Amino acid sequence: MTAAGGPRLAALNKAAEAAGLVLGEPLTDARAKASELQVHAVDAAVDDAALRRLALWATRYTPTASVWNAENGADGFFLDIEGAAHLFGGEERLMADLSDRLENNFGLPARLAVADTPGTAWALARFHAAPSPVLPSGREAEALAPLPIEALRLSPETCTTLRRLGFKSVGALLDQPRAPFAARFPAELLRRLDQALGRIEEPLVPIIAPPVYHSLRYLLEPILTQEAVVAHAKRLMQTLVHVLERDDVGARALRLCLYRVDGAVAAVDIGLTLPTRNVAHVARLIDLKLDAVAATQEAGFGFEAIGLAVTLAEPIPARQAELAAVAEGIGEADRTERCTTLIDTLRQRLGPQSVRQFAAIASHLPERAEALAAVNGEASAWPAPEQTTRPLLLLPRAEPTEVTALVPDGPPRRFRWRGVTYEVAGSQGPERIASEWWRDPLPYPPPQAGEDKKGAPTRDYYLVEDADGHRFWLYREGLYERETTAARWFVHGLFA
Amino acid sequence: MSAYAELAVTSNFSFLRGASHPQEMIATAAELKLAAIGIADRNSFAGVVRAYDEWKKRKSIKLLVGTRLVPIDGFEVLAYPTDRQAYGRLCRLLTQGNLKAKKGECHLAFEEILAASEGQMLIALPPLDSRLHGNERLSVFTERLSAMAHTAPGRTFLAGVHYHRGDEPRRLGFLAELGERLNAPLVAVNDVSYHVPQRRPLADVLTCIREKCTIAEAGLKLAVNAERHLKPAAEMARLFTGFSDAIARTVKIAEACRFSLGELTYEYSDEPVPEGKTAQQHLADLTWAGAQERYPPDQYPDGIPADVAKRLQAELALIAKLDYARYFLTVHDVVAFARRQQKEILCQGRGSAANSAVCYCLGITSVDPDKSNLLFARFISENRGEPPDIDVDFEHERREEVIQYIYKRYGRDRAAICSTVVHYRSRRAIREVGKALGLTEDVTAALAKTVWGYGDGLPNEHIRQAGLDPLNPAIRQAVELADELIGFPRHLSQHVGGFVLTRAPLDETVPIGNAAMDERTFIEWDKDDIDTLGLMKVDVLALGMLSCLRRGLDLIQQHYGKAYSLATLPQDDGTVYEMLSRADSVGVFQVESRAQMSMLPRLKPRCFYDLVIEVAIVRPGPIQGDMVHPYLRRRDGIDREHYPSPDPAHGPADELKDVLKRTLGVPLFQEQAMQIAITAAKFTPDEADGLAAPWPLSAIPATSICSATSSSPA
Repeated sequence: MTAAGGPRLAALNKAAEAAGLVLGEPLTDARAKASELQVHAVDAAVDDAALRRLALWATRYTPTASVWNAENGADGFFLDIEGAAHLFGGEERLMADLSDRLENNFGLPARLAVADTPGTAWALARFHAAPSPVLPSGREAEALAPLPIEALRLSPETCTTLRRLGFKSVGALLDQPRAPFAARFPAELLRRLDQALGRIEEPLVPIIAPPVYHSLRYLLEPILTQEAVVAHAKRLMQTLVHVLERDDVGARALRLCLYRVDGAVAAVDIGLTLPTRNVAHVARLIDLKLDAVAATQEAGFGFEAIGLAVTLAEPIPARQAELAAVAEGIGEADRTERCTTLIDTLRQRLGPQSVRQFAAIASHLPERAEALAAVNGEASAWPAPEQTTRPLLLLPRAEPTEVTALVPDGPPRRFRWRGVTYEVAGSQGPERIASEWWRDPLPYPPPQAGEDKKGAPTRDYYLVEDADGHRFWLYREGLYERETTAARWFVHGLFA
Repeated sequence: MSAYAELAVTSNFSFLRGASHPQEMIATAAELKLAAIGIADRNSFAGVVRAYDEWKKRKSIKLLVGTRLVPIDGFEVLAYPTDRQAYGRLCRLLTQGNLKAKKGECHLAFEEILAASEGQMLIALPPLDSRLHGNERLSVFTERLSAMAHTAPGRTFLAGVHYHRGDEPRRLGFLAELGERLNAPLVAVNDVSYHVPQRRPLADVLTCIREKCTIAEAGLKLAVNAERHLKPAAEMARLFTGFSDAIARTVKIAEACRFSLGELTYEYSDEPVPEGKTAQQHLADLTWAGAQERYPPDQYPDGIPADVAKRLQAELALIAKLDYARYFLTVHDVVAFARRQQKEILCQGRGSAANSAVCYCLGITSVDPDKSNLLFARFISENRGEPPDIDVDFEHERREEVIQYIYKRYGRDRAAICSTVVHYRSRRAIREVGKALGLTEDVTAALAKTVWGYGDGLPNEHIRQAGLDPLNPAIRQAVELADELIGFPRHLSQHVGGFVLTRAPLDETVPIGNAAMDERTFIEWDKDDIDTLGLMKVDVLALGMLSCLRRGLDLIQQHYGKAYSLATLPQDDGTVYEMLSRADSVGVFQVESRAQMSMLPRLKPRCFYDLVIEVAIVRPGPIQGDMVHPYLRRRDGIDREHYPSPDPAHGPADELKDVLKRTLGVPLFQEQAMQIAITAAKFTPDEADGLAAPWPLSAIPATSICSATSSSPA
């Protein structure tokens, strides 16, 4: 994490602690202490998502699991086990079970505590010496007294001020009359104290499991053919569409499960470019996928149940239906939809990696100015072309050619490429493009004093046309004035 | 063989755009034998004096001084003044723009440029996007160009640059035709940002720093090629084949600009001189009157001592010869203001000015020529050619009053504070370069920490100590670029106390800009630039110790009822010297450091002059020159005082004794070195001054002692 004085350590594992590193230490000091340090940047979003998933798992114990927000430290959660503890044989057994599973299944050492109020439980989990205390009812004040004031979940400024005034433990606060605190500190102080002692309620916001879109249908008679499978899948999708519409989401990935009579299950996965609720489109894709996968070949005695689940749902922004589109033809939004439909279809046919689009890269070197990237359904903006001309076809690799030209920067007069000699009738240029010096690898070890340090050579591009009208894009590598005495020539592209 | 003058040069005083020092540009242009070179920085004249300084050393090439005017809505134009008035107009224009904006920025409008266009040679730079049709920027540009050609006929031109983009013949042809049509003929320029093509990586790094991105992200913001360097005439002629008149026009423009910075010198203000007298007369009157006060008849029944009178006459004669009277009068004016306040502001002249008897009589300094051996040549010498540098310290708490007095007396339009150029130092340079190259923060921090203090450069040893490999390519690249960047100006800042005073309005001499403080303005040139041009500069510096003394004197007045002033404090209090001999000097100005405390018990100062020697001796000069031990030994009587004496044919036997007797035969002061040269080697005072010149005046500001600077080991 970044703080004053440069990056600092936010978390350590056991090995790091053993090496003597301390939380909050500057990174450079840590590197000096332990040279084989592996460092990763703090990613709060990922951590939060992981915590949520863990909390969802913990709902096996109780329906109310509440993830801590940033105020409470963002590294744990509350479980309200009132009424659920007896199902696991009591509070201690529940704690032991939870602790075991966290340790063994997830590899996470955890600190746990049970108490009547969330505040006390938080404090005990953080600061108590014993591993997993279970606090009997009514003993909050006694348990809290020896703990430091940070156990009350106060803001750092409040804690600093309290320490300065001499209040170092919660017990010291408990004895004092309340009025002076109400006057001098924000209301949060007394509120937290009361919450911990149970005088006021602390409502917990339980985590809500993400919705599952799934529909399953048992068939009266087992089906064998692909058409039948697709027809039933269509009907399943229809039922799902209602739920998807209600939540304003669309499906981006689906899984079709085919349950055979003899118990085996075949699964087919479909991926889409943009979230969709379009039944016909999904049906078509399933059809294509089944063609490719030939899962129905192994139908055996037939499928007796079909299930369709949405494995990835993403929001679809609501779209206004276009009035004009009906009259004039295809509207803009429709065009996008048709485009994504096409892309999905191509993907299913050819494979998911086979459909890509060009993205512009800001670079002066022609071969670096574009790259292939995965399609995401929208056409990215292409920067306005500069005046300089670029060939229609850029050869994947510039091909060497022998050229007759005037030194230092005259255009080619005659050149030989791929076995054919061309006489140049007209030319344009040179367009000088210098190398990207920060990419050129520097020699290691460095050249001795006196040796020339050479960077990559500069290119002079020429657009030449021969007597028959063919146009080529050539370049000379190296400037005669200052870079080289024998330059090489290449053909880099062709115009129409 | 055609001649060529490069008129579009951006030096590194266009901060973060130019990649070479003005000096480098001049030197390279001279080597390439160009007919002329014009330095035109962005909305400023900040770097021109350095270019002028470099030019003075060579004079083989003509130097044009101009600026690149960039109004807030585009349309860049190079402006070269043809004479002094035109230059003044440009300064006014830039001052206007500066004062409208906050520090470091300049807001100009196109109409203002037109209004100031009389006497300027204007070269408009067309926009980079060279689409010839349907280009809106181009049409706006064309309108403005034609407006400018109407306002300044015969002095408006259109610049054509060969960008090496492959379409030059067509584009230049289009521009030539456009220029014909609008009566703004084509002129060939190369839009220079660096002096040799090898500087291109640094120019790219500067772009990254300016645009706040790393070099991998900069993409199209970087230049395509490395062609923006100074090119010789033959190369430019070849690139502009078919446009030879554009080349020839550069020389014609250069010839038409007859303004030189040398025309700005020595315009001293007239304030301190009353009606009816000349400056010299007034100075003489004040000096003799002051002398009467310093040597009152009750203490000096024979009148002013003969030696002193002789000195005064000699000094006044030299001042008259060099015409420096106004300078002394200005400083005297400020000091007199301070002294005549109800509650006197304590002030003290220091440095080489203490060598002047005239300054003593005017009350600027307090070293009595009767008691000390002063060397006027140290202060002013004919062949140095620069006006004297009189530094005056004021009580730091009340310095603002003095500053306001100067502003009031001379007016804000004729007095302003100098700037100081803040350069890139090692730490910042490596930090910025590292960030631009994409090195991680902890690596740049570690590299920056290898620099201690204000050292220049990052030696390999230090880098190894920081745990990094200096041969690693990424680190090497960063260090090489940082080395080039060290010394580049970063921005201008207000100087502590150097004032510039002129006769003509200041904003016609140099552009003025806003400082970060409210109501404060400063000029674009720094102290060295002022010295180079010979403008009048007065240093109004603050010394905390004077405030301390003021408070001490007040407390004495309050508690003991005795009123002392700096001049009347007794100098022979034995208990003070005993305290110092015990090295009990914590809190005592000048002798507080460990080195001093270890010297005090050895030297055992007993009188005031001993303190003078004490302060002078603990300096790198005497220590390196091995003067300290001989002096101590002679003082303790271990060695005999010994004065080398010449052959009777060359001079009296004790001629060196006069010079060295106060320091027991050991030369400790720079003045002594000069005096030895004068008496023993028969140097003239000016030649002897040549010995002293290279050393910076690291004078110690002490109360009432003569200058004790690092002595030359000679």
